[in-house]
Amino acid sequence: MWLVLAQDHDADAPWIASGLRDRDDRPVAVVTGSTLVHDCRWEHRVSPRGATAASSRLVLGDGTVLDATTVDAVVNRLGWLGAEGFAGASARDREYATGELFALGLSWLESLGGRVVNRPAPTGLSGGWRRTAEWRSLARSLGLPTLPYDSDEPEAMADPGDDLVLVVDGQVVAAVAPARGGAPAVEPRVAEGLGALAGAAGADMLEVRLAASPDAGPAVRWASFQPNQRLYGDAGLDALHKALVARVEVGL
Amino acid sequence: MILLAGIPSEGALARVGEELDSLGLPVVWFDQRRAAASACGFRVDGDGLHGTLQAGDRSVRLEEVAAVYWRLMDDRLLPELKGLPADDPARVHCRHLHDAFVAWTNVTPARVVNRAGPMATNSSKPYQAQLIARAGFDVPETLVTNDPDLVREFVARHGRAVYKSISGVRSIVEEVGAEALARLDDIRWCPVQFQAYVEGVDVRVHVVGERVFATRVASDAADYRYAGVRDGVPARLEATRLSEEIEARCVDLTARLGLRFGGIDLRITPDERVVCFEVNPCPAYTYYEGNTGQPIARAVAHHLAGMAA
Repeated sequence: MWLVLAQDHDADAPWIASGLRDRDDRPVAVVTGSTLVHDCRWEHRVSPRGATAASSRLVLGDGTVLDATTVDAVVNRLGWLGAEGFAGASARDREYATGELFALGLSWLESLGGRVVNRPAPTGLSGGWRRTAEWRSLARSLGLPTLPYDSDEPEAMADPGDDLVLVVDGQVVAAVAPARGGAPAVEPRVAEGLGALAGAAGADMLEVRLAASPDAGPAVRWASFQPNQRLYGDAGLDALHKALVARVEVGL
Repeated sequence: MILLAGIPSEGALARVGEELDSLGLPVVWFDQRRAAASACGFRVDGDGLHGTLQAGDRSVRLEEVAAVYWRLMDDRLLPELKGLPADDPARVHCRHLHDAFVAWTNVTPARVVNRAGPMATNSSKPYQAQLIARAGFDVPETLVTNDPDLVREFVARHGRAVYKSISGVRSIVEEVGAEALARLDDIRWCPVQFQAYVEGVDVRVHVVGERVFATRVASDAADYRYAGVRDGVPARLEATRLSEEIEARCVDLTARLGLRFGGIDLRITPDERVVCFEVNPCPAYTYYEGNTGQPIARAVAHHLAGMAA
């Protein structure tokens, strides 16, 4: 099974699932954060020793089993697991439960190993969340042009004129200019740098937002582990499908 | 210049401050409780990373900071903000100040003890246990579940088991007894972490760079930190040495987690297995230092100063 993990109301998730069904016969399941929190029997184990110390078996309310024998690869768009649904609990208990659920989700996703696109990190379930300052510092350290950063700048500020570039497994696979339309060209030198940025961020799949820099062409604004997948159409889906198949072929 | 951030009277921070003073090194304090008189701003541009920290009545150029030791408390809980609504200007200023400061610690080339990203491995104990296992340590057999039947099987199989928080939230480790089993159905609401009880002697290992300080803890309590309060018999602490191989593994584990300073909780079993429970990325080491005389604060000060021990 291809497993697509997403936050509730992630409109890209069912679109991705549909596109994956079009590309092979493997079953596809979309599982949301709410399902994992409220409609799932969890069994997550860590063994006393060994490099592959953890295993999991999740049974969803509809009977779907998620474990190492049923899940071939995962499209991971989960940012967090939260306890917002525990409406009757106190705010303090909800905050505690949110921490517990995030901790469990992180350990579970880690136990799935290399079959997950994108792998989790302690600061984000689909990759290590970074502030704008960190994205630009990282990009700058890799030789990419970046916008200047000022700590008074709001986080994750976007501009409708930005170009968006999708990187999958280290390769730029699609670019879009939502405001202007069309597919902007990405210079080979920049494409190479964006691949390196994804690698340095530990991302199998990364959407990089490029701002028009008046003097030096496109410049990195920030990046996201949860791409606006529909913007990239078939090119993005083909790359994602290829990434999933590659993970099965190498037996991760 | 070395920057210390947090509450200056807090033990761990204060001790490092004393040691830095004794070394005659320039120190600047960012006192959270003086947030109203403080500000932090920086830029990343073609000239690199540069900015200013206004810490009370002192202004510091951030690019001159060579090392940072920070132990910030949750700024929402600062006494100075008590009773203020979320949108109060003082609270908004305080949040922005802390956010900018933490962002700076993540991008500065200074020696930071410890950066926020690596510290976050402790936000999930079973996640961190997987990393610990990869570093060659045994970890406690663990079950995280919301199925009471699985817990009953687990407890029956191991005889003794404990439960604790999954996340990094500090919780008192409790043994699973009749009272806990009687309310086991409550876990259906939210999964809980259970671990097989591990017999043996606790050893807390503080690693500072490549220096290792091991403390043996004698206590019969499931959680020795609360032995005095809960059982009336406080734990007894004494400095000890581990084998070179285990010490090297502790140094390696700390480095793998991206930490410059860590507190590793080990238990040595009767058959000499070394089981690692977790690595605390912000250890409150003074409890161990005060009971054993181990120069942990001095080692942290030396590390911040880039000095060999």
